[in-house]
Amino acid sequence: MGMHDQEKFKIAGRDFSSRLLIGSSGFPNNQVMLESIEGSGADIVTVAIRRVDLSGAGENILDLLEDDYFILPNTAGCYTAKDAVLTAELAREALGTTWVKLEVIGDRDTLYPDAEHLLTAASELIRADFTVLPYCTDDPVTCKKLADLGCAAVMPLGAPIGSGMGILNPYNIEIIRSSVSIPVIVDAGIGTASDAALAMELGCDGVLLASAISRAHNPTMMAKAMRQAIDAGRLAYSAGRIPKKRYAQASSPEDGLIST
Amino acid sequence: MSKKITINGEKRKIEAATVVDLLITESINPTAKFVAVAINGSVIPRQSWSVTKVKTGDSVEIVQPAPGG
Repeated sequence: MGMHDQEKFKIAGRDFSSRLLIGSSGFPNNQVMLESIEGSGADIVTVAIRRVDLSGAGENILDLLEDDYFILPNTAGCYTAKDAVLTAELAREALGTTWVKLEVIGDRDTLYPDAEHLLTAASELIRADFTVLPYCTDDPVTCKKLADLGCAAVMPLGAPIGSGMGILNPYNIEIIRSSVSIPVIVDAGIGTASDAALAMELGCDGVLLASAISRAHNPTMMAKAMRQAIDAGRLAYSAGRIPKKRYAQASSPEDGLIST
Repeated sequence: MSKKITINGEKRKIEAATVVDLLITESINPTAKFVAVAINGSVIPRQSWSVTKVKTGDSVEIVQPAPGG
């Protein structure tokens, strides 16, 4: 968080020092992953839950991350509420956390969330005392329903996962920000630093991204760019931008002009 | 007598009696951190691994954290 940003970033009553949440996938190797995460300033790092390789267990990613970061398991790859709930329960058992980034995918090509299954899974997990952060569409109605269920944040997509297309509907993101009282975190679609800055300028509380850093030509450099973009965007939001106008408004005074 | 089960989607014939036996058979350290087990869609808490029996027809999932976005 920038030194000028006085407002704390809180999710479910817990303070975090960075508004950037980072995924741990897609990096060329562990060394680049660790350097990038460190350079990004993030303190929340997401992981997936996957079957152990029965042909011989490799190292566990948690051995690299658990001491330094707040680990947020996801339910990526789940297509039903049932699978997502079981994955969240397995994550709780494996990691000892009740926090979960809830993903329930409805379509393989777009990886769009399935709103019906998402609401069902969120409701079930909240009843079981999970802290639920759902990845959802940039749809104010779905976001409001998720907030009303008791989710700890809503995480609308800016664009499809891994697409790098940025924030395709900034107006919806603004409407979502004004219609829920929990944190709004743009999750998915970020391609470059200006996309992350825009999310923050729109009033979002945070940005979650993975591919934009991990698949960049230079991930560690992009991690720093994202860190600065988040800080700059948040500062600009807090500073209060000038309104957009159709016509010019001179910035130099009009009194005292010479006349010929 | 050996039991036919499915473990992480693979069909196996096993002799293991409990979840702990099964993990050892599969060369997974039962005291390793970050491992979780579900049988037939229900999580088996770690403290129950030594007393939970594996039965013919069971579908066992053994998972751990992995890189993810």
